[in-house]
Amino acid sequence: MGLTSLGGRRDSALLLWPLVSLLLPLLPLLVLLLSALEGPRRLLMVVPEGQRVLSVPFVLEDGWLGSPRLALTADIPANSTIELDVALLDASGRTVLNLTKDGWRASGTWSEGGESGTWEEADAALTLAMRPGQSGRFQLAVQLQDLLDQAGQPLPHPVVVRGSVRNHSLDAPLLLFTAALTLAVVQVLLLACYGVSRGRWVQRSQEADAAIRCEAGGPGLLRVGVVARWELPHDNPPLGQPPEPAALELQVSDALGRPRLRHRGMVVVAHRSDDGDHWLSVRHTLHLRLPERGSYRFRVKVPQEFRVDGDAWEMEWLQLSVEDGLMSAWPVAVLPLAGALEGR
Amino acid sequence: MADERGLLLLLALAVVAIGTVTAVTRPGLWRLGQDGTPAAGSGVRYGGSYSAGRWVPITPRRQDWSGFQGRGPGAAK
Repeated sequence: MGLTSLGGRRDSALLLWPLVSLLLPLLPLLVLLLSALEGPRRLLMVVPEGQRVLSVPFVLEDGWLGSPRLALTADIPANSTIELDVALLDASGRTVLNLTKDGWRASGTWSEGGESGTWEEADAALTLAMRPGQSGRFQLAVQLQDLLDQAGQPLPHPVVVRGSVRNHSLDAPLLLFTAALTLAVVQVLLLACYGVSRGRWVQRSQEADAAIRCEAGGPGLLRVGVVARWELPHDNPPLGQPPEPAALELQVSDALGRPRLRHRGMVVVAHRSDDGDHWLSVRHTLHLRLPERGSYRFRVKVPQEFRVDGDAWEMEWLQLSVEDGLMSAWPVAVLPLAGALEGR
Repeated sequence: MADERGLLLLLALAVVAIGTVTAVTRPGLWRLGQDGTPAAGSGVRYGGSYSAGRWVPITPRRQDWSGFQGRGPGAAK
């Protein structure tokens, strides 16, 4: 796979199919988004103490697409407790499930360090996630057993119980976890496809040129990386502006010493500083395609020094790296072999 | 390398398939009539449980419940 064209030619260094894997983490999120489109069936019951109140009938569906989820919340006054009996009735009025919810709601004020505010906590809600076994109509029967204040005295208020019924609720935390885990695996896949070279050679030099001879080439791209650094001979800050773009020369010769590439281009020289240190740096990457594997010599050359506005920047080090067998997700500019290319 | 890429792609497909299908079908969810009761949150007491497909009520017994469970203002700020 990964066949596309560069100038009408098939480029074997282009690998596109791993990019499609970026869609995989979106699948659980899309499912989650679609499930959120399902509007819940709302229930509202006003429950006086001692009376049993029935909700309107609702349908619980059984199937593979999600599962029913019932949620109930009792609106109770601050600093009160509640004991609420809840029963699930089937279409014939038979109780198929009953439970008691012990709820509470508390609030108060706080002050600390000259600041103050109010706080409130509550546990007056319950959620039931279950399958009905077979689809059918159900009802909730709610009965208020106790509604007490903080002193344990009964409160005369009726309680409003709000509910919602969803028939296709999903396991949202699992979907989010799946998306995150899939993204992690896809990142490893992309790293394995685009970030790993067949061979890698590095040469660091204190001079303004560096060279590597290695067995390189073959399928895929060859990447030449150049990193250079110049410093002032003293600790004083620079007097002037950073220099203009500098010349970078790259020569590639084969096993017999025959030149296969002579490239000369201008690269941007950046001024960096950190904690009182100042230096100039160049970071540049070039791509080649050496179809035949063999012994090649790569040599780069950069200026030994810069003299700008009274600053004399001297070469600190130059690092040359060569990697082969690389694949790319998009077309990259490749230097042509067996010729000379001037300037950029 | 090609084998590793294929395995990683298969792993990504397996993760997304298993996770999504499990989250949608929820095979471990309690089913009405199944032994026991559904998972409950805090402060929920069931009045019985299923056994052999039948709802078996338990004898009503008021639990020793201390009422307010709030952690106080320190947790609410």
